[in-house]
Amino acid sequence: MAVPALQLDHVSKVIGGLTILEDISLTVQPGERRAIIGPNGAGKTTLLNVIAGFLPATRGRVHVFGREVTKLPAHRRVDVGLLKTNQQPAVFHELTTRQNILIALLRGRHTPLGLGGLVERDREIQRRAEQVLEEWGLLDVSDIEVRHLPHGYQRRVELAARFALRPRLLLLDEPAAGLAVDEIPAFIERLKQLPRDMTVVLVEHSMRVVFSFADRITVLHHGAVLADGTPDEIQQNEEVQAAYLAGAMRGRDAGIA
Amino acid sequence: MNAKSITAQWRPAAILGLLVLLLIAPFVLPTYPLSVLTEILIFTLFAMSLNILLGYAGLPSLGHSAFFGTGGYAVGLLAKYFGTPAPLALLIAVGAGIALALITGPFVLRTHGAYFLILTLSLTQVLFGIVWLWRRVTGGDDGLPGIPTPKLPFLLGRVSDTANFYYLTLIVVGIAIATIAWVVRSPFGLALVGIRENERYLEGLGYPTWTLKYVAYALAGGYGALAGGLFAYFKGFVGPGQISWLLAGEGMVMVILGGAGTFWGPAIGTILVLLLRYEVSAFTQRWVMILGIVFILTVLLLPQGIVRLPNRIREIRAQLRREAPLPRPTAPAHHTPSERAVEQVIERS
Repeated sequence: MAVPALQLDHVSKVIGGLTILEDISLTVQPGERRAIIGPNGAGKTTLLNVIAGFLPATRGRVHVFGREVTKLPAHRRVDVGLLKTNQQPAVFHELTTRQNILIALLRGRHTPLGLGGLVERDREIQRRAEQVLEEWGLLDVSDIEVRHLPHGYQRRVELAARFALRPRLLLLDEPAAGLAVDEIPAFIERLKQLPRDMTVVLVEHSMRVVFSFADRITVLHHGAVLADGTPDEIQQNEEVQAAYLAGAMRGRDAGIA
Repeated sequence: MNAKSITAQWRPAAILGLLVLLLIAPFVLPTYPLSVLTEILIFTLFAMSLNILLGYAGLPSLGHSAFFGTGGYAVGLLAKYFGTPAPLALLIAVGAGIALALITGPFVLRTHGAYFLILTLSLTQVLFGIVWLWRRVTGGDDGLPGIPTPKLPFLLGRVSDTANFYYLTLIVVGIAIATIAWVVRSPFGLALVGIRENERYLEGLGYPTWTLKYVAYALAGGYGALAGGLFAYFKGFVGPGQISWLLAGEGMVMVILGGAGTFWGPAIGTILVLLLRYEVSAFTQRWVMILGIVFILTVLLLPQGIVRLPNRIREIRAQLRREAPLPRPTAPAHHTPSERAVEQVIERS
């Protein structure tokens, strides 16, 4: 079997004496679409932050494409192709859309610190930014400060910036949150079009998004893995039904399955 | 957007014009205004160096005088004890400023916001204490007087001494400002703005944010020390006043008044503060009070600094033309053009 895209071995996270994540082990294969679901406070976002390196794991190990990254800071994990989006789109509000894309494209260019050359004179990078903007339908808003853009656009800027860095493992933290109901089908389509050589780990409350996208689903409950399986298995799992799914389905996306 | 491109078009011409004015100034201005102009140049460099931290990287330093003073004392000590020639002394001053930043950076850069402000302030106070107490070397509160003013050899005898040092300052500050322009427009400069906006997001894009801040701090320290070194030559004296946190606060006022995070803002702020100090003080002792009022009005009416005044006027006029009686309360008026563009895009999609 191929080297897993993501492997967690007995990962725990304790913050201020409170155990947020307890002994989490999971393996995500290359190209897989994995959803992580669970009630509020189950530790989903914390788990993504531990994987991305924004929070250090208290115990356990994290491997990405066979490389141990447990002790690496977040910015070094980008080197192995790991990128993450935020619940609130991680964009620079006072910068224009174009500058947001440029900042991603310019990472590590020129010298390690980027102290060489002027941004506006760098033809190659400007051309690539133009391409990215076009690809994501952002040309019309390219010179507008991102804070003036509606939420859906900000999300697009965020994703475009991450894709500019060619992620191999993409962590999406509630990407559908804040989208209007009628925007969700288009969003699911966009997710489905992600290249198959990219591994995606998705934390999402919208069961509609989860069940139409994920190959496998991990259910977190009180910081521990409650169940792990294909969407069908998860739907039929009584424990999951009791703990979360029934309520979540009834409450949020009635009649999707 | 249009306004921006017009500004960009005229920028080279404006800079050239400014340079010509600065070059002929000694032939037009009497001695006293020329020395005020020299001081403006030096403090512009000081404010611009602080702006790298405060404006671009969003690190509110209230200890930038530590670097200014370090540069000043480096020049003073070298001139007094070793008779070091000015070019070398200024280089060593820059090195001392960078070294101080590299040593103190790991401590102060652990913090953000108000904590950063307090730590940088304490750093200045510690240095102030050392300078004050180490009388044997630093002269204590008497400082180090009698620093000889360096002169450009090729201008000797052709212009007055004041004009000679003015040209020397113009060359040094001009080169320094040009390199600052290059730094802030490089990918590094854009990354600093990213740190100001959201350090964590920038880290998530793979930037080593701590290292970037450390380098920015060292650069700001180097430029700040260069300004301090020049000032010591300018006054022929260096004393504890040049390392005091009051000076750091004044630098902060200059940057914020003119426009933090803009390139020319700190220069405008410096001109304003120094003109108030030297011109208004001729009429009233209360120039600091007037400065305070100007500062409050600026922060309230032009939160992005005086450098934005032309834009602001243009927007207000544009608004009047569209017969909008008042700016929309939710968003600052100067973003109206972009908001309109957004609305168009939304309508289209």
